[in-house]
Amino acid sequence: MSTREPDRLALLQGTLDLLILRTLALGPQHGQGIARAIQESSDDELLVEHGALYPALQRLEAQEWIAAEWGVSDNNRKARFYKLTKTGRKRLLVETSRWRRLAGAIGRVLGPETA
Amino acid sequence: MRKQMRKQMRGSADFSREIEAHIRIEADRYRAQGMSDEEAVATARRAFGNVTKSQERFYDSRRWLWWDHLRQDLRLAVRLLAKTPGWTAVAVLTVALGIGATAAIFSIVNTVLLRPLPYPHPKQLYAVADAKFGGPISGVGLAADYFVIRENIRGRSSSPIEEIGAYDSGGVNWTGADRAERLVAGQVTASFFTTLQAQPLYGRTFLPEEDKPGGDQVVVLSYLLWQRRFGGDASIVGKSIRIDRGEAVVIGIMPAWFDFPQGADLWRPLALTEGQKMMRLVDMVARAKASASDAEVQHDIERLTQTVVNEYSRRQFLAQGVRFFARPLQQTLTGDLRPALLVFSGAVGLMLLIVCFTVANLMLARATARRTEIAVRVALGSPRRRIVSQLLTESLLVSLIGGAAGLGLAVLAVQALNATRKTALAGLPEVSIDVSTAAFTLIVTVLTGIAFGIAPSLGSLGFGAREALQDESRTASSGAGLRRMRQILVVAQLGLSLTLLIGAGLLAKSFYGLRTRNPGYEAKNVLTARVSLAGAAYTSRQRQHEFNETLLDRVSRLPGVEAAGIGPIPPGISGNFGIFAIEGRPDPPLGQGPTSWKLDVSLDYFRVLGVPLKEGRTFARTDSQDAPLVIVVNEAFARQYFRGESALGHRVTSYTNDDWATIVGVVGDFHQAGLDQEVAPVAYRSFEQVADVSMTPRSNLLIRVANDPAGLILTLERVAAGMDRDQPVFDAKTLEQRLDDSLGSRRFSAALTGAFALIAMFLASIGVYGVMSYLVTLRTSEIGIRLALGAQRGQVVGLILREGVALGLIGVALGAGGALGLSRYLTALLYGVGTRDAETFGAAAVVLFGAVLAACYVPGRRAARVDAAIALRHI
Repeated sequence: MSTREPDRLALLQGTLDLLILRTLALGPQHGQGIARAIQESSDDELLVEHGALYPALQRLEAQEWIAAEWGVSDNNRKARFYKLTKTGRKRLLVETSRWRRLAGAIGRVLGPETA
Repeated sequence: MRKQMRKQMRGSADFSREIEAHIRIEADRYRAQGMSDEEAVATARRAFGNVTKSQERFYDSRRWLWWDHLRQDLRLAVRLLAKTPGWTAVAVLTVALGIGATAAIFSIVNTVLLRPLPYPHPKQLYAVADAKFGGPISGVGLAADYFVIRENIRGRSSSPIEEIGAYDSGGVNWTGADRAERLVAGQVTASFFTTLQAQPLYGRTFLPEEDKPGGDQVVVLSYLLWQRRFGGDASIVGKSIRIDRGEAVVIGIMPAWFDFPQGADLWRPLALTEGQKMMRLVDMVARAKASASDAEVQHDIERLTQTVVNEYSRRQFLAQGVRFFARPLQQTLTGDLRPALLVFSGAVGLMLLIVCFTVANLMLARATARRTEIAVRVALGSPRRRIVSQLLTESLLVSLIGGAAGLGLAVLAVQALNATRKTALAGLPEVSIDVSTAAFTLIVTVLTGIAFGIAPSLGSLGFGAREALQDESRTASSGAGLRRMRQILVVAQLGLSLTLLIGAGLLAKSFYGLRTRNPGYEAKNVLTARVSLAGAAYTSRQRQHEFNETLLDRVSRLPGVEAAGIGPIPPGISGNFGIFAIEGRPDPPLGQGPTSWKLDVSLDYFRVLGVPLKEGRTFARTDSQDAPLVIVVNEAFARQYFRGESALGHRVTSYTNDDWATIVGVVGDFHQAGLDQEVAPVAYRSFEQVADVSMTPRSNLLIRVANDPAGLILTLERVAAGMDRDQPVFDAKTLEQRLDDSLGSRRFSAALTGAFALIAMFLASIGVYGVMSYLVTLRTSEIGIRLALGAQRGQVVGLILREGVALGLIGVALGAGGALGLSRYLTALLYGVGTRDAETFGAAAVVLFGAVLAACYVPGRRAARVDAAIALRHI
């Protein structure tokens, strides 16, 4: 094999939902755009597996945190656009603060980077 | 709620379009980076990953997936099974055999042992008997004792027994129609029906005053007789019919399910005189009060022993050894069949195990062949549980089809069994396949399907997609786990088969031992039949005697008849058994005197049977009623009571008859009671000198002819009808037929277990063949290398055979061990063969080992024919 995959971080269970909601907070987006946005805004550290992305979108849609409709993309492609609903926005706030608390707590446990 | 769900549902087409859009947008991006059109699309697709998996997971979230999966699995299973018709046929047939045998045996066990008796509250019914008569299982009691017991129970409100009845069965001559007919009559007390709580279909049963002498001219008909002889006309109730030359009024008709004592055509009151009560043996049935426990009933009946013995205070001799006991009625009625049925259940269980192993093995072979397919499916993202459920669906489908076919086989088997039940399993009620059998079959079928589906499923889980795909190119080392599992299954099959083979061998050996046993008489060319002298015309000894003499005289003069006699027809003893005294010897302590059978025979009895005279003479014309009493004894008698001296000239007497009789002859021992009974001492008396009148006069005819004894039956019936048209000849059979029938249940046991064992061995051989063939396939390249390096063909075959021999040896060792552990359950069915008979064990092992080698033959030959050049090319 000539091209080795760069060493990327695997997404923690449940964090994909949070990242999708966060991405959609910036404006409506289609599936490919969401995946790319997550990848780019994480400096290519996070790779969204598409096999997980669409079921996650499906799940969020079922919970009515996001809504979807067909539209036209920047380069004139038909695509299914997702946008955050009102309940989704609330959910994002809750999830974000919970994540920050969790991340902070884990950081304190691990302590400063020494070794 | 439903509406909302529907609103949320998206079509999968919509989802597909979304994914297509995703890939196109992605491709646009790559194109913008300078890729060619094709390259961009391909890269976008690769980046997306498994489209189908996404789709499936999308699908997962919105449907009753299991239903879709089941339908899909079923469709695939049907298609795959149809694609390999040979494999499917073998698997379905195997299951059908196993399930069929299991269902058939279960239906017997269910009918005999599990299904409750058809009377109300059957658990309250007990058989009561005296251990003195007939032993601890199917005992009977003296009629006089029954009356003592009933009086005691009824006079004591604290007794746990509510009611007790007595019954017996015998034959009667029904002389109503154009042709006299012999019928089976239950002779029962009035309390018999009330104890069983059996209500008649029409009319009534017996009143208390009707089971006494004088009031007994009444009869209750069975449903079958009523249908057969009276066309089901209920107006027969209240009319008279002629039985044993007397009139009896039909007072009731029992429903069809009432068959007790078994086979009764009609019921008559058991009306006994005081004298008869001291001589008749009866069966007793008791009903416990609803509140009574089993222990209370047993205890109460045992306690009654003392009450009965006290009644005997002036007849100490009769009180010897009296001990009453109670057993649940169902156990007593099925007592004789129980050991055989338990053995069959065990055998069929083993066979079912083998069937499971066989099909598991077949499934494994299939899974092995499909490793690539399964690996590809795993690689394409099929979840493991989907593959397992697919395999389980396939095995369940096979087992359900096989189970349905098996139930069909069971129906046929049960029909065949019912046709032969008179001789095969005597005492067996009509067997039927009912709901519980069907339910049992279904459960066994599903369990079987799951059991043999699990092995390949585990196997398929045991390896990852990558190894399997890689293995494909290097076959020699592949599937070691699967192969090991198949070997274990085959060894288990072999072991179980050997256990069954040994069991069948033991039963067959004891059957053939008896079959070829010299009965001590010549059974060939002898016709036997019975005539029962009933009614007022034959109550005197003189009349009975005259009838017998005339009959013998007329029969002897028929063409082809060499000799005719009257006496007990072997196998079977009908006569008295009791103690006697030998002249000149001191009286032994009470109850320890010499005992013997006392049988009454006509002049030519020994000549007809071809029993040799060993000493002295047999009966002669001169041994008339007025001449001194003489008896002829058998060798067993002479050996046991006159050791070291001649029995001739000694005088003996039985206590009930005070005349002394001189022993004038000794005849050879023969198996009077049955081939599987040891010869007991017998003293024969001549009819001429028998003074007492028989209460149940029955003439058992034995006729020796030149040839074709069965051809004489019609002539014999005509002769008897010519003498007295109300005396039917019945139960006419050749002596050989009787001998054969007497071994019927043994033959049946041996044949049934033998069939199981053969099927088992055949299945195990198929298993060995499968494993060995697979081994040869795996090692073809290795064999090629060996041949190329100069190995001899024989060495190659040896290489393959070694594995077969190893499997066989382990199987034989396990099977022999299993047989050693299990064969003791056969004890009750064996005769003259030990449960650890070395010959049988050895022979069974040799047979099984032979089957293993035979199964190795074809794979071995294939190994020997491997062409090194071709084999090497495929490495």
